[in-house]
Amino acid sequence: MRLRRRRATELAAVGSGQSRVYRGERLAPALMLAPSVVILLALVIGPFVFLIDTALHRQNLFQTTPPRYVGADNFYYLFISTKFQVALVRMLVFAVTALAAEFVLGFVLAAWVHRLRDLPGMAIVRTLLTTPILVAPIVAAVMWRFMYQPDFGVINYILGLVGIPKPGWLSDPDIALFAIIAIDVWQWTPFVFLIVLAGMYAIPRSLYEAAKLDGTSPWRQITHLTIPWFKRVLVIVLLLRLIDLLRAFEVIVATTQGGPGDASYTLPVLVWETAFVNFQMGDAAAASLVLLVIVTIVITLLIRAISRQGVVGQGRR
Amino acid sequence: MSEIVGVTLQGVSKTYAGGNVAALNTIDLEIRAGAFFSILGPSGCGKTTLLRIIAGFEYPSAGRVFIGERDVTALSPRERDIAMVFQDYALYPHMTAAQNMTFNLRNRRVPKAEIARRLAETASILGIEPLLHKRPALLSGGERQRVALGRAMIRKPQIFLMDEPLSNLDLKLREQMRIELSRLHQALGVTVVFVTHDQAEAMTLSSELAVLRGGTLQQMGPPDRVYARPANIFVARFIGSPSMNLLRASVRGGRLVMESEGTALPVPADARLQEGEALLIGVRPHDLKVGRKGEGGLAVKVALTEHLGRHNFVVCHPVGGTACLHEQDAIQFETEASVRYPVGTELELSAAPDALRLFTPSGERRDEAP
Amino acid sequence: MTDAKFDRGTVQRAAERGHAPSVSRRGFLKGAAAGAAIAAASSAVTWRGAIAESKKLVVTTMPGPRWEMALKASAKAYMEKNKDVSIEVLVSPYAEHYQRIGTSLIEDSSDFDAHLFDPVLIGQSYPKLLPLQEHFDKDPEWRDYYINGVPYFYRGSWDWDGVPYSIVHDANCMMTWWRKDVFAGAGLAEPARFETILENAKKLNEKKPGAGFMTCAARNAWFLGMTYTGMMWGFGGKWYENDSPERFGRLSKDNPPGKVTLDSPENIAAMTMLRDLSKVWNEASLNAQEFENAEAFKNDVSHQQIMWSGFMILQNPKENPNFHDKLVSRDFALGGTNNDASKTGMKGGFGLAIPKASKNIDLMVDFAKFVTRPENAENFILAGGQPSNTSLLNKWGEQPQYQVFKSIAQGIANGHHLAQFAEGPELFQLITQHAGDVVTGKAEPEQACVNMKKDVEVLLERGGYNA
Ligand SMILES: Nc1ncnc2c1ncn2[C@@H]1O[C@H](COP(=O)(O)OP(=O)(O)OP(=O)(O)O)[C@@H](O)[C@H]1O
Ligand SMILES: [Mg+2]
Repeated sequence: MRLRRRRATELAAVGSGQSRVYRGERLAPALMLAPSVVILLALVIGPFVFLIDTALHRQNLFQTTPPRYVGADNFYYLFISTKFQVALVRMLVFAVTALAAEFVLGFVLAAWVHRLRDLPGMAIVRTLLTTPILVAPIVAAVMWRFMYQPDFGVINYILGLVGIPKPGWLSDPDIALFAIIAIDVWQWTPFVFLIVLAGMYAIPRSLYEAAKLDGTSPWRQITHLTIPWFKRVLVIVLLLRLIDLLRAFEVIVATTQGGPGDASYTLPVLVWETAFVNFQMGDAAAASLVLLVIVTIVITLLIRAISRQGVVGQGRR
Repeated sequence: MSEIVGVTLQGVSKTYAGGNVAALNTIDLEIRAGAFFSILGPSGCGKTTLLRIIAGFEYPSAGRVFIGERDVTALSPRERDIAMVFQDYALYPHMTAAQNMTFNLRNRRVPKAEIARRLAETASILGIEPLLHKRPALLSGGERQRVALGRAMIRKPQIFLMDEPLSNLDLKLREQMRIELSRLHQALGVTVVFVTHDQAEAMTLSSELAVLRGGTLQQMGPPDRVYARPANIFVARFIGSPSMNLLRASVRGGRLVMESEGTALPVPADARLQEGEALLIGVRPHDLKVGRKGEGGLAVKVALTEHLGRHNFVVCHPVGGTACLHEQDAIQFETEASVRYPVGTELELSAAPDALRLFTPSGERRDEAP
Repeated sequence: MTDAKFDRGTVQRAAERGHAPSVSRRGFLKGAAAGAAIAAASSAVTWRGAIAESKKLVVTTMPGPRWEMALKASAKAYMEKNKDVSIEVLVSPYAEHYQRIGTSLIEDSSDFDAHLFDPVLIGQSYPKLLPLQEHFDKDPEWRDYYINGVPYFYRGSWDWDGVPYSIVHDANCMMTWWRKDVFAGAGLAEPARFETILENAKKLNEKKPGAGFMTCAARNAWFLGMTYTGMMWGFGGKWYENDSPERFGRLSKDNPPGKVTLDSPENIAAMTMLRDLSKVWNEASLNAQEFENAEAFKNDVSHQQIMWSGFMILQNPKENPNFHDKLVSRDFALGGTNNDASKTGMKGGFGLAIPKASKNIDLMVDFAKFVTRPENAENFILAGGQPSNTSLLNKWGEQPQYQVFKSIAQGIANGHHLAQFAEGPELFQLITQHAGDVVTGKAEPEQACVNMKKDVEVLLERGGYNA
């Protein structure tokens, strides 16, 4: 080891003796990279290291006693807690259901608007359909919370007029998670819709006409023409939505905070509750690391699976 | 193979939603089974609209469309059994040439073996076997053209519709494809409706053609007949290159006298003309001959000579009593390549009476007028 | 409106970690200034001195009518009486408020003359706070009025080792509310016991579904945990062996909590009662926030609720035009085998704590005493405050629109304060979680109590309390 290091220094000495220009050339890229490396260190790596360090300590913001090093204890207690298992399941149910609903609805809406694009007034329909994106998520959640309110909410008021039994949208443990999913679907379907619609507009009209002449059914038009045409865009939207859904929490916190009971208690809510309700920073850091790992694994697997089909990465057209 | 049929349009009109002028105006067309039928006209005259109405992508505002005996006016494109070659080919970018060509058959659940057989057959007719596994992005313009044709052909449709299929190709390739289309048409014997704004293309390919202008049908018939007997001065000038010369004249003492005295041409034999009648005379450049001075004829002064290899076109300005339809028009005539006139030479041109086409002052054909 | 204590507090102690606080941030800045120019530094000293002489008080608080508005009204009245004094009330949102207290008490408190906050931080911050006994003794008249008026079980929360570190500003506790006209009409009994509440709820629901009972939130801000905790005491249960009102919910290593008793028969009885109530309560209870509970009363939706005394606004004709004179309250109910009213309910509230470093100690003490005095009561109450002195509470409670003050006077005379130990927030979160399992039908009361006990044992073990 020492020997190798000595040889390395000797080599370096020889190298430096060779020419000043050579050294300058080697230094220049390093200097040019330096600012971005510093920014990366400051904004990504620094906080990440801090997060890991926090996760290894027991630290309650209400205590004056200094943080205590506890090794992997925080992870151990997280894994054995029932609320972690519940949160994991809820998170997956939330993400998968919302993702499926947003995709199907977004696609159907886009196909519908695209089909009727020549009718007058479609521009207004398009704008109306996209307005939910413009609402801040927290505002949307609070707005829906009011609409869902079982006694004064507008939804139950309308159901009452029609004579349908009034559910406790956010207070029935069997419904709450899906009521929240509905809010997310309301807000983010337009995102999928917009991008799919843009993709559809990008397809030359003559392609659809050719497909019509080729006797293609509307369903096959979607599966054999529309989807292959902007597969890549779709995958990006899918990933974006999935990442968002796996870490969604403001819509839940603003409506139920994970309740009733643990009916809408997802992993991001667990992180939030642990950090900003219980002030257990060590536990929260551990949970957020686990969340980070889960999201990373899911996304990586997905990207791998898709790139094997030649959608991401290698060029096609 | 489906039985070969023609297309009939009865009083077809089309006004687009939001458009205030009619894109098509009461068109009656009879396209015979097996014809290579061209629709010709300047840009914006409604050619594509007409084709899309036949295809079923647009519905006529009035009138009916028949394919063979079948009234297809209300049918969707899928139900019409037609194939179309688009101006931009409209090949499916994510499918190989073979997949593009067989998509239709696969949609219709034709057995695999049959698909393979037809693919091989079509590919060999078009000579595109080596291209079959390639995606459109990797094909040249001409190759794409062939694949698009192949996609249309493989289905053996009753009617082929082509919207300016050659306009994206360079001149050489265009000529080559023209020959190929012609050959294919003869080999397959199908009905082809071909849209173009290139009169030469229409002339060489078509068994029949229709000339459109501003959504109105001007004339329909075999190319040579339309060339020889244009129905009006629009058709007369649109077909043939360089265009027909148009001159103002009136009938005086059995001769066609130009606006002022001294310049005159003989009257065609079969024209029943009335003394004093005002007319427009059409004469193609190759029908004008240089006459001897003093014999009477069109007085012109040479402005320019275009050398075109085998022959020259001489561009002249009218002098004396000679008058063109529009003041700024020039008179053109053809000569042997060896004949040269210096600029400024004054000539008198004459033409055989048969070569003269007569039109009323409003531009309609005169010799068939009652 | 919320009286959840722990969700608001956060002590910024990042500075503490990893390096000794030899030079505070402020100290460093001051040093730099001095180094730059001696003249500037000396003028800064004069400037600081000038402030001390101008008789200006700086008091921090957070938004909310019962403390912020009451404090401001008191300050205004005090300034009118003492023209040479100016009082600045610094208002910031709760997290920021507690951060400010935390940092100022860790570093330098000399910029503030008082912080208005709940007793949760007293155990950590008392070394930096002014012990007040000596100042009380300088004014025996006021001292006797204060000591006799504010019950020890309430006031003691702000003490440490028997030394007072705050003057209690306002009072607040959980209680039962109901519509007396509806109750009279149906011949229902006053809800003094949970068994009665349950009976009433069933009867009320028969007439109008969902009207019988309502409480607050199955997960939000541990409301359910607080409701359950109040019930647990009401049924004679305890968190742990050494849990008693005089410990003010405090936990320390020197004075360990002992065995966790959350699965005792009393706790299970309370949990069973919560489960039974959840079968008949207004469904909105499972996700309600306080304003929704208030709306439910105002709009004739519900007729019986457990809620904080902040509902006093509903006895105000302006806030509740239809039922203000029909709504009454009483101290937290008892249940099961417990008949000892001193062991039920749950208390909150704020006190004025003066940093030792304040430059205006005498003036500040004088202002704090003024705030609590009868002569300031009208300003204080009309601004939305709930006084802490039972003599004021009982006097004002004679008026129908302040009836609730009588219940507060009862409530703060006994019962328990909110947990004040370091693991407090998580303790309430765990209780909320397991009570949530019960009210959503996920667990039976016995099982939920056993699970809750286990979780709390782990919590205390990890916190290093039960060695
Ligand atoms: N979808 C449409 N909506 C409104 N007007 C249209 C539409 N399509 C075509 N038109 C109008 O109808 C007229 C005929 O158009 P068409 O495309 O049939 O012309 P064309 O003869 O094919 O021209 P080109 O040679 O340039 O392709 C034009 O005036 C055009 O502007
Ligand atoms: Mg066109």
